[in-house]
Parts: sequence; C-alpha cells; structure tokens
Amino acid sequence: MKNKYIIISFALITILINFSVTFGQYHSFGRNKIQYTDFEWQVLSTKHFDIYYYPEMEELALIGAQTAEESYKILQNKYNHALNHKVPLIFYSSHLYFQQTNVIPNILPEGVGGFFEFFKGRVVIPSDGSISQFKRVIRHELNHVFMHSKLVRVQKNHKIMNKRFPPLWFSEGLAEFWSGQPNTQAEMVIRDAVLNNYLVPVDRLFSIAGTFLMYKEGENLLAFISERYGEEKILLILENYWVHPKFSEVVKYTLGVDYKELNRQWTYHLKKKYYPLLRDKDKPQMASKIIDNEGFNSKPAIYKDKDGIEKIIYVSNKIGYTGIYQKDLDGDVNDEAEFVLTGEKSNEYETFHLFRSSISVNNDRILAFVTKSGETDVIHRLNLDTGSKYPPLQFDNLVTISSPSWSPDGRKIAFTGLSRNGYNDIYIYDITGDKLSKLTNDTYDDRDPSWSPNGKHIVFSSDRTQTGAGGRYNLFKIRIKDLKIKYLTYGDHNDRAPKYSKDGKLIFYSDRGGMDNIWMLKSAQRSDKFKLTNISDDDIDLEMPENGLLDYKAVRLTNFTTSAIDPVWTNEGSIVFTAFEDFSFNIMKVDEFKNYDMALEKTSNTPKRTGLWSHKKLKKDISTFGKKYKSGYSLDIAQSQVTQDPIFGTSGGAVIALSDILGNNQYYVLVYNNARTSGEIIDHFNVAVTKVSLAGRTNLAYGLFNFNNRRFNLRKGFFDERRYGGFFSISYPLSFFKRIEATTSLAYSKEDRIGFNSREAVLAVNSVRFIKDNSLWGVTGPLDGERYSLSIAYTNDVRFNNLNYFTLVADYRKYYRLSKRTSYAVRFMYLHSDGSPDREIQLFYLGGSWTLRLYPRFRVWGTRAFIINNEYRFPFIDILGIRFPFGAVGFRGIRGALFFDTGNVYNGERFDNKWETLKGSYGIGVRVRIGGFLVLRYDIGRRTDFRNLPDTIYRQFFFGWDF
Amino acid sequence: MVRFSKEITLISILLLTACTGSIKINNISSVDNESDWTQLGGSPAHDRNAISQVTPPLKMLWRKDVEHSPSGVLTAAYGTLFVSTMGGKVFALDHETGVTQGKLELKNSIGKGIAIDGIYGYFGRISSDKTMFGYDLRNGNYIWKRSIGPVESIPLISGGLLYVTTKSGYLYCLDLETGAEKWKFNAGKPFHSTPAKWNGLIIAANDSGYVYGISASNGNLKWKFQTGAPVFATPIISGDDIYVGNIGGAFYSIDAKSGKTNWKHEGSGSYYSTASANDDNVFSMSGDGMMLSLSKSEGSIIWKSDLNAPISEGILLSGRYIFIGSMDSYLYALSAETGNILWSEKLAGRVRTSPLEYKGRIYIGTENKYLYAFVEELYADE
Repeated sequence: MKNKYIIISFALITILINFSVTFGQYHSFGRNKIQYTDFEWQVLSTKHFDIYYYPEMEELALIGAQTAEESYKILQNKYNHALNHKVPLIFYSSHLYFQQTNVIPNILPEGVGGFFEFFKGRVVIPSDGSISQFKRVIRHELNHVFMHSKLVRVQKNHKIMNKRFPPLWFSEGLAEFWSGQPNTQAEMVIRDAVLNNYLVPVDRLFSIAGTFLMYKEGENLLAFISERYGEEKILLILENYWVHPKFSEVVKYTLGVDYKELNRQWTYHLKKKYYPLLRDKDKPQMASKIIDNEGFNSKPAIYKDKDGIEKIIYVSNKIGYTGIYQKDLDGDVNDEAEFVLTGEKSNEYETFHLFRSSISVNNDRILAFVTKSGETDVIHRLNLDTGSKYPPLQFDNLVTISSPSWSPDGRKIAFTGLSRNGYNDIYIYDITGDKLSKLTNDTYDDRDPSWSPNGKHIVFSSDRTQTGAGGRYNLFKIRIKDLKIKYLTYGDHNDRAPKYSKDGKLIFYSDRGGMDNIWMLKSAQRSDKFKLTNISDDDIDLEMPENGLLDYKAVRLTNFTTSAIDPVWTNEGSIVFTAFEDFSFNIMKVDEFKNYDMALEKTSNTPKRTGLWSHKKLKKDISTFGKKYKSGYSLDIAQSQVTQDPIFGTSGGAVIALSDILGNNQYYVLVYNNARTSGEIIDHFNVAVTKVSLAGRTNLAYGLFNFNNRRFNLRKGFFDERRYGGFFSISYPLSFFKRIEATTSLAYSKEDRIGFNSREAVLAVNSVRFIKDNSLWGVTGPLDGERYSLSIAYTNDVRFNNLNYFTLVADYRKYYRLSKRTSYAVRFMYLHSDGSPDREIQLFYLGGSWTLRLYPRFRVWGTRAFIINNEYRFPFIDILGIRFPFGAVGFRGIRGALFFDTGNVYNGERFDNKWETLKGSYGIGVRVRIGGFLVLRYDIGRRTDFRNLPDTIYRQFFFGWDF
Repeated sequence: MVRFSKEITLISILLLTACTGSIKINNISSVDNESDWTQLGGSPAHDRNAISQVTPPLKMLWRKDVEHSPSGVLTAAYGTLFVSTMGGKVFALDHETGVTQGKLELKNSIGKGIAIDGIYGYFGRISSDKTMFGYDLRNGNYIWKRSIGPVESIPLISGGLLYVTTKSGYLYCLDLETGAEKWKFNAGKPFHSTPAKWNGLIIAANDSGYVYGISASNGNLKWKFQTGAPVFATPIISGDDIYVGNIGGAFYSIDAKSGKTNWKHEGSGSYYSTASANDDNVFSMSGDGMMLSLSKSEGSIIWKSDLNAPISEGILLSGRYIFIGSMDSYLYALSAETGNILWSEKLAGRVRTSPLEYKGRIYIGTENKYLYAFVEELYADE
C-alpha cells in the first residue's frame, strides 16, 4: 500500500510539473474522498496511547481509551511482548466521518470496520452506535499492532533483513480470534461453507485473500489450532517466525503437521460438528420458497401495488451497484426482478447501507429508504405508483440514519439516528408537522424500530438489557405518549428486527441456540411466564412487569442450518425473510411453520440485575486530555535508490515523505543527481519539494522544483533540459463522483540538442479539468458506469515567445453491462492542440495497446487526433493453476476482449495540413491481473484502412488496465 | 604504561579473533571461583542469588554493541562475561571494560546461553545440523559436536554430566568430555526451558504441562505432576521445593521428592519467566506485568507490584533488592520487602536477558544489541 501511495503522489507531481509536454489524454479518474466536516481535533494521552478525537465524542473517546488500556494488558500477556512507543489511535463517532480520514488515501467502503496503518503505526476506528462493537474493533486492531511489532522484532533479532509478514488469513484470523468470542455471524459462515462444500482448504486460503470468507476461515482455523494443539502454539508460531522463510514451514515446525494434515484434521473436525445438524434442521432452500437468489438481497418489505398485487420490495446488489428491486410475491423464482432504482452512480443515492438499513412502504405505496447523500444520510421517499420523488429528509445533528419505518397512518416515520456524539437513538419524524422527536436519549444502541398496529408503541432492539454490557440485544417496547420502556424479551442472546403483523403478532429474528432463526412472541399463560429475577429499583426508565414476569414468551418458527433474518409478514400470514445460504443472501418465503422449543425460554438462567449498566471510562493515568491538536510532522518514508539506464545513464537519489498524524498535511521531497562527470554534480542536482493539503474540502498542492535531465521526445529525439519553477494546484470535489481541478505553473526551461540552438522559455501553464467517474470495476478494468473528463490548458512562453498553444482533451468512456460478468465498453477521445504556426506546439501520438491497438506505440502523431475504442469484455478463464514439482502458480479471473478501434490524426499548417488515412484495427485479446496492481495484455488481430482488409496478423503484448 | 600494554593486547586479540572467529581465554582456570556464574541461576537448582548485595542507585559503567539481540542467560567466569546472541554469535567480554576477548560465529541462533565448566563451554542452537557443542575456551577448539534436535535452552551441568532439553521433546544426558549420550528421556512435547537438579533428580517441564522428576543417573521417570497448561518457564528449586508457573497463569510449589503439590497460586497472567527465591519468599512475574512476592510456606501474597510490562527472562535477588529487566526497556530495582520501585534506568531497547550479578556489578542485555554493565553509583568513579 505504501509504494502505491508514493508512486501516485509522485506521478501527480510529475504530471503537474511537466504538463506542457505530457500526454494530456491519460487523465487520472477515480472517485473523491471529500472532507465535508471540520473536526476540532483534540488529544487524549494515556499510558500507552495518544488518542485523537473531537469534542462531541469525548465520552466515547474515554470509553475507547479504557478499552484500549485493558486490551493492551491482555495482549501484552498473549503476545509476551510490550510495545516501546505510544500507539496513535484516531477515533470517529460515525462511519461516514471515518470515510473522510486522510490517514490513507483509499476510499473506504462500508465493510471496512477500522484499520492499522504501518507507516506511523496509526490505528483508525469508527463507531457505528454499538459501543460493544467499537470495543471489539479496538481490540482487533491492537492485535495487528502487537503482531506487527512482535514479528518485526523476532526477525530483527535473528538477522532477517527483508521483513516478511504472514498471510492475510493468519493475521486477520488471529486478530479476530483474539478480539473476543466468535459471533453468530462467524459461525454461520463456516457452517454454511462446510454444509455447502465450499470451505477453502488451508493451502488455498491465499486465493481468497481479502474476502469475508477468508476472515472467518482464518478465525475458525486459529480457534481449531488453539483447541487441538494449545493456544500457546499460536504464540510459538510468531516466535518461530524466523526459522523458515515459508510460513507453511513455520507452521509445520511449530505444530508438527504440514498444511495438508492440518487441513485434514480441521475439515474433519468441522464436518463432525456440523453434519449432524442436518438430522434436525433444514437448509433454507429445502424448507422455504425462493423468491430471489441472485446476488446479495436483504431487508424485504411487503406492499400491495395499485392493482392489488402483493409485492416484495428489497435492497439488492446483483451486479455491483446496490439498488432496490421488487417481485410479485406469488411469482416464480425465475422471474426477473423488477428494477426500482439503482444507487451508487449519482450523488443522490451515493451509497446504500446494504445489510444495515431496512426499507418501508406505507399504505399510499410510498417507499422510505436511506442512502448517504453528501456528508450525511438522508431518508428518501419514492412514490412507487408514479415514480415521483419527495424531498429527501436530512437532519442537522444526525450523521447516520437507518431502518425508517412508516407509522400505520402513513404520517410519521420512525428511524434510528446516530448523532455526532456517536450514539444511536430512536426518532420519529412527523411529516405533516415537520417535527422531529427523540424518543430515547442515552448511550444505549437502539435499533430496528417498528410501529405497533395501533400506532401507540414502537418496538425496537436495544443493548439496554443487562446482558447488553456483553454486546447482547433484546426487544423493548416504548410507549410514545410518555416514553415508558418495557422489556419484551430478555436473555443472553440477540433479538433483532421486530415486525408486527396487522393483527398484532410480533416476529423477530434471534440467535438463541447459536443460529439466527425467526421467532415470534406469544402471550404467555401464567405458568409459562418468564421471570426476571433480582430486579433493581434503579431501572427508572424501564417499566418493570408485574411480579417481574414477562408477559410474553418467544417461540421459534424456523429451524435452519444457517440463518434467517429480517422477517416480515405478508397479508396472508406468510413470512418473507432473508436467508444466508451457499454464501449468498436470498429472499425466501415460508407459508407454514411449526413452533419449536416452546419450553426454551422458561429454563434460561438470569444473572442478578444491578440496575442500568454503563461502559467504563478511563479515569486514571491520563497525562493529557482535551488538548487541542497541533500538526507535528513525522517521517512516512525515506527511500533511496540508484538506477542505471543504458540511455539515460546512472542516477541516484532519495525520496522523503512527511505528514502529520491525521494525514491532512503532507510534504514530499525528491532529491536525485544524474551527473555523468564530477563537473556536472552541482548542475545536475535535481530537487522537488511539494506540500499537499487535504484537510478541507478543497485539496491544495504547491511546490518548487529544479530539474536538469536528459530527456527524450518522439519529435526532438534526445535532449537535455534544465527546468526550474513552481506550481500551484487545486482540486475541488463537487460530489463523490465529480470534481474540478485547476493548475498553474511557472517555470524556466532551457533545452539543448546536439546540432540545434538552445531553446529557452519561461513557461506559464494554466489548466482546468472536469472529471466524473462512477464506474464499477472488475478484475482488469471497468465493467459498468461511465467516466469522462474534459481538460483545457494554455501554455505560453512569457519571455522568449518560443511556445504558445492551447490544448483541449475530451475523453468519454461508457460501460454497458450486458450480464453479471460481461460488458460492452466504448471510448471516444478527441485531442486538439492549436497555436502559432511558427512556434512549438503540443503533439499527440496514437498507437499501442492503450490507444490504437495493433499499431506500434506512438506510430502516428498530429496536432489533432481522435480515437474510438469498442470492446466487448467477457470472462475467459476463471482459474488457471499449474502445479510444478517444486511449487504451484495460479491465476484467477483471466478476461477476454473482442475489440474494434479506429482513430486518426491531423497535422496543421506546419506539417501536412490534413487528416491522414483513417486507421482501424480489430481482434481479440486476453488480460490477466498479476499481484493486484499489474495487468498484462495480449492482443491479436488485423489492421484496416477501411478500404481493404489485409490478411496480415499482428500481435501486441503490453501492460495496463482496460480503458 | 599499563593502558598502552592493554591496547596492544587488545589489538592482538582482535586480530586473532578476527582471523579465527574463536574464543581463547588465557587466564582460564579449572578451579571453581565462588563468584562465577557458570550456568542459569548460578547453580543446578537455579536458586542462587547475588553473592554481593548491589545497592541502587546504579550508574552505567559501559555499554557494548554485541551486534544482535542477546539471548536469555548471561554467564561469567575468569573475569569474562559470556553472551550468546540470536544472530548466532557467542561473545567473551572482559567484565570490567566490555572489551571483546573472543567471538564465535555460527549460522543459527544460539540457545539461551553458554554454560561453563572449568575450561569448557557448552551451548546449543536451533538448526537442522549439529545442535549441541562442547568448546575448549582455552584453545578455541570444539571438543565435540552433536545433533540432538533443536536446542532453545541453556544446558545444565552437574556431577560431570550435561543435561539439555530439546524442542523435539527430549531430555538428554551427555558426557561432558565426549558428548556421548548417557541416556535420553522422551517427553513427547517440546521443551523450552532448562532443567534443574535436586539431589539425584532432574526436574524439567514442557508443553505437555507436566513437571517431571527424572533420575539423573539413568533417565527413569520417578514422578510427574500435571500443572494444567504448558510450562515455558524454567523451574527453580529452593530448599526441597520446586517453584514454577505455567502459561495458564498457575504458579506452583511442588515437593521435589514426591512431585506432590504444596500449594498453587492463580495469577493474573501467563508465566513465561523464571522465578527467584530467598529463605522466606518466592518472587514471580507474569505476562501482564504483575510481580508477586509469595510466602514459600503457604503461597499467600506478601506483596504485589504492577510493573507495566513483563520480563522475558529471570529475576535477580541481591540481598534486600530485586533487579529485573523489563520489556518496557527499563532496568528496575525493587525492594524485596515491599515491591516498591527504588530505582530505574531506561535502556536502548526491550530487555532480553536476566540480570547477572558478577563481582559487584550488574550486567544486562537488550534486544537493540547492547550489553550493559552497571555499578553502584557510589563506586562509579573508582
């Protein structure tokens, strides 16, 4: 990650500095990380941590600090290791704020719960309203800190100079294993993998690196090693890390078994554990009807359309963009899902919260759903009959919103809102009165609100239960009139997503018994009533049941091997829900169900209640609290290199990057020397200093440079150029998908060519660019969406009048999705350069794998050019593996392409003053991605001038992403 | 004049050692000197405490770059310090000046130290080749080399025999002069720590969680005691009792003759390091940085001290003071009576060795490849 960061930054600098002679057609695209929010950062220093937070989340920061210190003690013991420096922890009170961090340049998707960055050892963690989850992520990331420090130390102690690190399945698996008990979700994934035969063996785990399955398999495997061989073996794997360069050999040395045997033992253990489940439980698809099993589907809702047909509407990601789809309830599984709207292509529906936020439809068929739009979430309302949109609902103090729920009369929406302090509470918005009311107001995580049929209560899931301190959620009911809250369920398990039927039957999903299934609350006979024991009078917010007895008991309606979540009633009394099976989330329906385990609730033991619980906050060993953050710079990277090129000779240099802890301000210093004789050393001293400022919404970069290099130009050949000056650049993101960039630079340039007079110039270059990108990427390039850029630049020699021209580059690329893995891609590019005929001008070159395929690179040039590329992209080989006696090599996702390109160039008055003959090429190609950052391309086909179709076959091999 | 001669000697030694990579010590003697620390814990029972009481505050006398992180146990004899490193080197240093008197270079990490017997030194290493060595410190030649499996610990020497544990699960008894195997005991699971000796028994503990009492003469098992979790720490024997903790957090007092437990203390963290004991109390440190003084008779807590970071090796008792080197890069001196920190010194890196007391000085090694010598501040300028 660190090399990509530096390479990108220096590419940016290089392009900016040399804009006047750079190909303008290859603009950088990409989406934008926008700093919407002005955080007033403060510092909290504890014994082992420097914690960066902002005032609104002060309480959360103290809770996080307490957790961090507790975790430090535990991990110090587990790793038999101590850290010799304070760890910087950067907290955010919401994931949307976390996405704005400049600690790393990457866009952070929803699935990233936190990260540890190697340069400065920073740990960045968001909260999402669940403090238990926040604490778990802190422990998880601190595992990475300890692991990294331990492994560096072990290797350094044993003279290993080139540091290596274990495979991702091990590091993530261990971080997860040592951050707490496995949760229901982790068990579910492994159970599903075993029962559906897609568990990836140990020696192949690298092939799913970075996937959710890898995380869970890694965690489970480490739990197995701990159980079978002893937890100390995990520590010994780390301490033996120096013994062999191959991690598999380290494991073999430590455990005494190789990967093959370990896998055999592990899979046998899992089969013994999970196969017997099939005796009493069912796979969801064997016991319910499939509504939609294509892609990832979640959060169904039911409504009747204007023709009275009952519909299921749900959130789904089938092809890469998340959107909302619907189907007839009584339709066939093979019926195509009707597309309602697509998100993640425009600022309006920037991102959905796919598995986190439910949707709701009222009796007027108005759909309410949530997306991110700009800095915060908004509630959208869409009329399903007409397609018309109501103004989105955005609330000043609320950052994240989830699970909107219409009231029975359709005039109010209840939802969960996360405020800037990081706490989730239940809100009601009255549409008619335009009034927002807050129903709960505390540190507990209140979610999944749902209205009672009479509109007087809201049922929700919350960790305000006594077992909530351990991360458990039970169901509660709040009376809107006086905000009195009652227990509905209780126990050391998770009860979520309650939903009433019209006649008052409440269903929800729960992981009682270890698996998520659908449950229903039934009124209990006195003898069946569940008793809450040892109730304290301190629970002033909670209305205690009479005699401590809950009025309801929970009965299980489904009995699946994996999971059933988010149930909703149909009008006929069936239940529609989301089931996880075969690593996908499907919408299912069950019409008939029987009650399981009716006695289960009665026999649960209840621990003693001691009143409302709260998370511990750090109170001691605080050396600094509330101190305003000041930027202090420290080294990110210092790297030196010597290069030898047969053309350009030898050069040696160094690059240094500095930044502050938050990554908001960065300095880059490049120094190198390419002198060929001792007398040239001073003259050929090259330096560039750049400052990049990312703290605000507008990003700035400016700097000074001095270069003296031997260069090559296709028109001029080799020449020496001395160039020094400065530049200033602005990038302003209009939205997640669009931005404007402007650059101005002023530089002195002197070119010396053998056989020619020197050319001096003082170049003033001004450019403006507009860029949009909402493309969705596959393995080797974009598959869906579009991206385009328009740039105009003016270059003028303000002193010697040797150059004077403007350039315009228009680049439009569109990707039409034909199926899940195929698409048709088209690019139109026009390049135009114009200026005084007696002065230098920008030239454009076509030819090569990136422009006009099957023609040699830079074959044709002109002052104007256009290219039209057409390409049909399809999967070619999914997995290609070759096993040698000494090892194996494999490739995944080899893609194919059928292409047809055309292009031409025009030379103005100084040259031929005409367009050349139109050029074209067509053929077939293959692309394979190596190591995540390099794509190799091979094309074969023919050329044409559109008058003839010669038989000659041309081949071309190069590298680079698809356009 | 004396200094000038010393420099010539030094240069000569350096030249010699640079050419041959050996340790040759001229003034070596086969007579035991009571101030020498020839093996872990200063005795076969690992129960020796500092001969002289070193009183804090201390002052650094010298610091020596030993090129790699030192391994766990320092030994000293004939005015020479012996340091083995994880980089595969064994250094012999003048204890007063830190000047290198000799250096051995091997390819792989040396086990946790070099044990000395007379004119010979014995050490092991982790390797697929020869793993146990006998070395003549006077002439710089190996007297024997053996392949017995990877050796992580420092060997025990007693009664003319050498006892060493391996990571392949064996306890070996070897002849000191020839390295010939007298017997071996197969415990089935790896050993990480050094055995101890009490009367005719060898006491050893390993990953199985067992503490074994094995006949020193023939390797027969006399008794074994299950502690409940793997044992990484080296057991010490004080009086007739064994003291050892396991990584599950349990610390035991075990009767050495019968193998039966006297008492058990449940600690708050894992025990990775070796304990120390005086007449009344035993001192232990767990992985969460908690140091305890326990009554030897009952196992009750006399005091406890939360020291912020654990230690990786052992504890040195020096009269009324306890010296420990911690993973937070400090050398601490604590009161043996109260556990209060009386003095501390920040070092260049995490401490990787037990402190060693030799001729009134304290020696300690850190993972940033330094070996330190400290002396009482009162005598620093002498």
